[in-house]
Amino acid sequence: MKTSLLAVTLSIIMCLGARADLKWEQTSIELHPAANDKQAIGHFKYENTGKTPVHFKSVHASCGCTTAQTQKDIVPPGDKGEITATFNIGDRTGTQIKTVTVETDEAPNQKTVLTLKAEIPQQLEVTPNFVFWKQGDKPDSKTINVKVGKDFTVKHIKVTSSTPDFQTKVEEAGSGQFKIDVKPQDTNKVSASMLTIQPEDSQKVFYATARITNAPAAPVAPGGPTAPARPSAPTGQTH
Amino acid sequence: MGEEEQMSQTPNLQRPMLNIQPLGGAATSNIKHRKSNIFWRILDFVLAGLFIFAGLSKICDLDHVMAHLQQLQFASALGDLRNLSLASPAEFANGIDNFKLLPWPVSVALAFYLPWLEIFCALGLVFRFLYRGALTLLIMLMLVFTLAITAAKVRGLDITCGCFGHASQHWSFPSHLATNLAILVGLLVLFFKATSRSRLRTAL
Amino acid sequence: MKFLLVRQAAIIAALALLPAAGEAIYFRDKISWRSSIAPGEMVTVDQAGGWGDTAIWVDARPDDEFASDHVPGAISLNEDRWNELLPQFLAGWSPGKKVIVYCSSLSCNASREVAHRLRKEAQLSDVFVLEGGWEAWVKKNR
Repeated sequence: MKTSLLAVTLSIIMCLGARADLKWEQTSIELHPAANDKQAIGHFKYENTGKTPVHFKSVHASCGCTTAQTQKDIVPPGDKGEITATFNIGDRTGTQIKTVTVETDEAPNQKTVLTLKAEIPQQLEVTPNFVFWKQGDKPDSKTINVKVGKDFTVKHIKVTSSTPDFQTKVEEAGSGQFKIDVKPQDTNKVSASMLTIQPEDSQKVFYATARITNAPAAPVAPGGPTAPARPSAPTGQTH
Repeated sequence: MGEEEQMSQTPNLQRPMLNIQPLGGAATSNIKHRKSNIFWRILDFVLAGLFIFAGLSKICDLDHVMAHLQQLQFASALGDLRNLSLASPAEFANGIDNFKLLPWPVSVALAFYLPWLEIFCALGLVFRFLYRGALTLLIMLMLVFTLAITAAKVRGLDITCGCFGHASQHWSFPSHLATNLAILVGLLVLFFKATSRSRLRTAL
Repeated sequence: MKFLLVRQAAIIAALALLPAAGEAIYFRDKISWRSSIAPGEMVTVDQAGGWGDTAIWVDARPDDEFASDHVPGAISLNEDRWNELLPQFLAGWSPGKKVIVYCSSLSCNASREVAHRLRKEAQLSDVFVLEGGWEAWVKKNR
């Protein structure tokens, strides 16, 4: 009985959804940009199958990283067109889902959500990309795991530290994984290093950060000749 | 006396006499009977296996196991099974919520409950314990899932089915629908076999 | 026979409730029954204000929005220039600090995504999302 109630409810919902005059070829597009692509573009095609022109009231994206453009503001009956959604990938990784909400003057107030799903391939996944020791901690080594993306093959990686305060050792863990052991020389003074991780035969570079931080309680003067660029705005923290 | 009453009340039932095998063919019919029994049991196990996998994939994080199995690295897959971690229930709850059919608290409750329901029903199939009840529940679940993904498709919702955890997240709608319908047919076949067999049994 | 089916189904349904309830209790702190954001991950402007110097504010909005105005002392960290901005943020972080990430309003997703990456990639604990974002902060402080 519960199933039939659900079925009835669902069929009502389905019927309501079918009243729109602007028919979309697809409202969901999945993209697979290449690793070096800066943008992923989806073309959402539509056709006005109704008898009256359709006017786009608003088209706006779920984030600032995605822009959407209509070719025209008014779609005469029988006309076709498309909305181009451009997703600026930036430094995003993994599965990205961005939406564009389109509002037209169809009755009832028609809102259509266009979804752009982009799978951003990542050559290397570095976890964690930040290792730290508190001042005075034992200088034990910490491990960074590097996993090669499933669409890539990387046989070797090269790791360099921007300062001699940290030593790194790379170990191949098999099945597309590497381990980087990071060890500080000592933890007596605050210091930081940028670890550059480069896959063999690749121009692309990945980063991790290693730091000796000051212990939370005691305020210490900003130190370390090798400290990387600090934000110029006062942060209100005691260092 | 009671049996005769029952027999007269169930009109479509054959009288047991008609099921007596001809003397010569007793041995072959036994083998045939055993073979068809094995077939039904295999179907039980296949469907149960699917539901156990479906349930487990929502409770545990099976990504690594699946990746290793796909690359035929069985040793690594076994190692992964030893280090299984629980998946975050939020993921499946979000998956249910994406269908936009139910309020959030109900999605959370179902996210915890459905995987275990699937597993217990599957175990019912395997061990023939509360067998018909298990089949009934699984058929109802499949009907609801199929209707839900169809409704989502019609409404243009972009959903990751979440039916088989991460394994099914890249499936297209036609393959989802086809898989669901195939499972449903298998379950219905078992159900009618079980209920017709029991009708025969109650008549004996 | 129908009654038998219902009875059997009811028994299985009841049995399945036990481990489900156990799991719900086990995960009670990891999932919120009220909203789809985990508890303990969001903070209000008031709560965040009460943390004073133990907090680092992170602006997850695009560069131009950060440049035009932001929470005093906030560090810009967005996904457009994540690789460049992350080391700068980490330089300002120290253990024990509470990180508060905000984007423009209640409905934007950027703060949640930046917070998620900080927790997952840099494995920082005590990373929070500001409920209501920049809009809510401006309402309280300007």
